[in-house]
Amino acid sequence: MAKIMIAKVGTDAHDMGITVIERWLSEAGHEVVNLGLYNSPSRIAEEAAREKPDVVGLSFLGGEPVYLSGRVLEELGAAGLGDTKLVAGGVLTPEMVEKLSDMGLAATFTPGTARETILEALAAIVAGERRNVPTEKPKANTGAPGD
Amino acid sequence: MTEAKTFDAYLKGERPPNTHTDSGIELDASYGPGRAPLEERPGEYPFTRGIHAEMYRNRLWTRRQQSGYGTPKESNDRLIFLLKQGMTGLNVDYDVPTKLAIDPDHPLAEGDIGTVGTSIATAEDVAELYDGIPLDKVSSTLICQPPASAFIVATYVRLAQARGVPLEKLIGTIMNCGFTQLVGPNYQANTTFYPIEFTYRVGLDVMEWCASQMPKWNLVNINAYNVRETGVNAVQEAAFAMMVAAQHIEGLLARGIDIDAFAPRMAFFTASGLDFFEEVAKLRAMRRIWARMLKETYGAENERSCWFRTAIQTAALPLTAQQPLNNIVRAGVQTLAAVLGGAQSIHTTSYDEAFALPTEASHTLSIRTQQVIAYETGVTKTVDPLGGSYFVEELTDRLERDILALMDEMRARGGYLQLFKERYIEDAIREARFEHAEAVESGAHPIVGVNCFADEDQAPPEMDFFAVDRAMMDGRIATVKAYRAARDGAAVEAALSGVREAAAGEDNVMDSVFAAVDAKCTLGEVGQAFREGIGHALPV
Repeated sequence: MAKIMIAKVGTDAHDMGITVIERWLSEAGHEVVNLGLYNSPSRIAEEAAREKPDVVGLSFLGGEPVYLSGRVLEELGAAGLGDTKLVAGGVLTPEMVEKLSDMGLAATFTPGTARETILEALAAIVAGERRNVPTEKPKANTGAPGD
Repeated sequence: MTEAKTFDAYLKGERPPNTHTDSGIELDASYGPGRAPLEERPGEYPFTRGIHAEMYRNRLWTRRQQSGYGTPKESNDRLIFLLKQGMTGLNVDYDVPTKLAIDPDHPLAEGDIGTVGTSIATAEDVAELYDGIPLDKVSSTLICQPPASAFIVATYVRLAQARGVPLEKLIGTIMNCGFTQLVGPNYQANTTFYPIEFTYRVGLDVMEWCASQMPKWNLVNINAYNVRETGVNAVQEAAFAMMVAAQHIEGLLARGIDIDAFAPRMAFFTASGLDFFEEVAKLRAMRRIWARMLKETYGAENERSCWFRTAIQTAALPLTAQQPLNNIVRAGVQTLAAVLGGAQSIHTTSYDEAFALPTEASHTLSIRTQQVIAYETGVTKTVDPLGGSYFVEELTDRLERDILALMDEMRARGGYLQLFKERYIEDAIREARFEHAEAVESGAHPIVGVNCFADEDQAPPEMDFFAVDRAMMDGRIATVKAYRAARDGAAVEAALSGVREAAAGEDNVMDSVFAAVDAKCTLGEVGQAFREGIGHALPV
């Protein structure tokens, strides 16, 4: 199991995603540090230096995810934590997902992503198996409800 | 799923996954004439069937799409564009730094300038935003909560005065609800920048000022939509919103203001979810509850005080990133529920909501959705067409009972402010979120394209999305810095010290905010002066 730090960056306070993710990760046995709302990129790096998480996860709805993720990477690098894996989730356009992947984020998750998909991706990241967006899609329920 | 399995399932017959409403009310197979028929007509107290006898036959609902992004100039262009498409009222959203009363060059604002609303820091920005828009002819909703709403109202009033528009002719709404407007009633979101008591008090200051100066202006709009979007159900949405309204009413009454001097200018903003009949019944129940509460609890005598007036936005929570075109259908159904529920204005959420702010094209489609319902379906030609349906009347009664029961419980436990501080609201939100997430994961709550009827390849959609550019953000930062450098520093300092004193004291803060606007203080400076006045430090 891993130590995962999650945070909202900047002024966006939509926290449904991060609230549910915190619960899912804890239930899966991970140690979760939830920094909550209103974190500047430098604060996230400071907390990461203190907590030494395996993965840092950022949650977005609004704001500029590409710019802010870049700033967090920059601050993590400046704090000597360039190896910390960074992931992002939330309301992201396909173009943002591509840019975030190019910037070196280990994974991105868009709305409606199933719990299992997120947990598997994080497990793979922690095991060092990948540093990029998942290429294998999980099996979707293409049938009627409950199938 | 294999083909054989699919065919088996279809042979067996598809059926709904459950027979309860989204709020959990178990439904009967059919409803009959058990209940005494409703004698009320639309336009008659307690207004179950609508606040006007003729409703849309006299005047269609206002098509009021939220908009705002980037610089005030860019937003002005979009507003003019939307008015040309047939939008009939303005609904201006500000970016989050503006709502939090921090300027674009604040360290926490760097990635959020102009992203989900327009960036406002000065009175000049407000003038640019409304350039070419007549303030006495087009009604404007200003989406901002206290204490920033004090600055937003002051700058809007100064703009009107500069143009020679009398204040009694201004038509519109300041949202101004410190409990619901930011992102709903979440605890941390609403306590970090200001203590909730201060936010509440400045909200009342703004209401009091508007009530005395702008007779046509709506002085608060309780944002039940944001409450709902946190994940709670229709009963909680309605009960929380009514209790927030009661909190505002009691605050104004305690200041010695007559109920009928402000209640006609209070309004709501509610969600229209996807559970069609529950949403219609919710609006009918809310009208009845509001009318009785105003008359029986607060002694209102003016009939207008008893009118539950609501703007509606079709809920965004049921919209999906998967198969995004499905969202057009969802929003169409939600819009129809809003119309049959008797809404005063509607924002139809765009199908690209799960990705970004709407583009011009998706914004236009939202307006067209409403126009098709308004002009082609005929549902506007008689009032409350669902009234008298056995099912709709019984469901309305049931929702009324459930909402009132929750309100009674909340009242017995000390009222809204108290329960907010005790995190009762926060706990309710968290519980609803976990329940919903579980229901989606397990498939108990089917979402087409997500947990059933999903696409095999799940490729990202090929659509154009709205994007903001970094140069705009940097431009805003440079603009506010240049603005500060070109003012009379002594006048600014004197005005800000007035704001600090007003915040520390008990008198209405509005005079000090007007003085600050006149001295060219920025919104962020006024916000900071508020904090200094009450001794509240920003943890960031």
